[in-house]
Amino acid sequence: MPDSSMPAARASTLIVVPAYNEAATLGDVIRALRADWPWVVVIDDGSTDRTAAIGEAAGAEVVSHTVNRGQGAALQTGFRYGLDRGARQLVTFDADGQHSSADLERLLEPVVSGRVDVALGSRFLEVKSDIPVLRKMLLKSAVVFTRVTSGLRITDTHNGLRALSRAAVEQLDLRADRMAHASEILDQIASHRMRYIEVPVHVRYTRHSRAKGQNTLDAFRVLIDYLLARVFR
Amino acid sequence: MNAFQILGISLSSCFAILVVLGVVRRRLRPLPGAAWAALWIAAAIAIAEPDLTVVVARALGIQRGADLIFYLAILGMFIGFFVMYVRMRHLDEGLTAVVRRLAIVEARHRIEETARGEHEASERSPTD
Repeated sequence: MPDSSMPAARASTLIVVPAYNEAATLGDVIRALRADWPWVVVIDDGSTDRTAAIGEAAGAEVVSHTVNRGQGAALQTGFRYGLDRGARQLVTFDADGQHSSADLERLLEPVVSGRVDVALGSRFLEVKSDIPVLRKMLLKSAVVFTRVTSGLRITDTHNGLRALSRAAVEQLDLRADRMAHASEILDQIASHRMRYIEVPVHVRYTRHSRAKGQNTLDAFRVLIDYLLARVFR
Repeated sequence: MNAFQILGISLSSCFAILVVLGVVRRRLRPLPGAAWAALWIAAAIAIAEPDLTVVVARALGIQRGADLIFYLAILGMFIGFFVMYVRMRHLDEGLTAVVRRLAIVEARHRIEETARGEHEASERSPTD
């Protein structure tokens, strides 16, 4: 719930945290967020562990999918929820502990000031993130792919940390329920001619986040999912 | 006419009649109904006159009637898979929409309940 004693931008910013079986990390992630950001919603995507209870206990609002529908579907649910509840800015933030709440203010500033519609976090600008070599190669391939398919010139296509204005979220319509949503968001930024900027953010790779992250085979699944989503749109 | 032909023609004719009845009773749309009826009638004709498939096969550049049937069956199977896949995607999208709606309605309901509880508590507190 927005706290009126906080500065207006913080109170009207909804942090959307999609989570599927993230009981191990979610509590710490939400507590770190709630230290500075009053309004956090966990989209529990049909978890079979205590994700929802832990999110609520840590001070987040919780919206629960009854069955698992994928991260893209969870984000779209968070967007819809935020629009319904009057959010002026929305931030997407991963639940596995790889993002830092310290990056949020810098990420949100260009959106709050109205300079851009979307601020995309990038681990390849300024900040040194300890990125595994194979992951780095996959991400660089995705950058080339995105440049070809959407025309966006960005350095990090699959970073879950993004800030969006309300107007931008109103235009987004994510149909890719699973992992292809990251490419879909970029496609829609390009097709709606949204103003965007990349902001350097730090990504922390833990054993947990590596285990939950995508491997090479997943990258091909994402590619197929993305192509099918484009064909059947 | 051998036993297989009698059985095959009977079954194909039954299916064709069922399809026509389905269209008449508005359980099947006319276009897919016509396609299914044509398929069953073609099957009945092919079983009754196997030499006819050879004529059609040769006209299409295929030597044997059996090969024509085989190719058509493979083609039909792929078309069937594609149609099923498209339907499954639509169902999937529908399921996501329902799950999302339910999740948001439940969350909104919980917020309203909490607000009502807090409001009742604040109304009670001055008299406590």
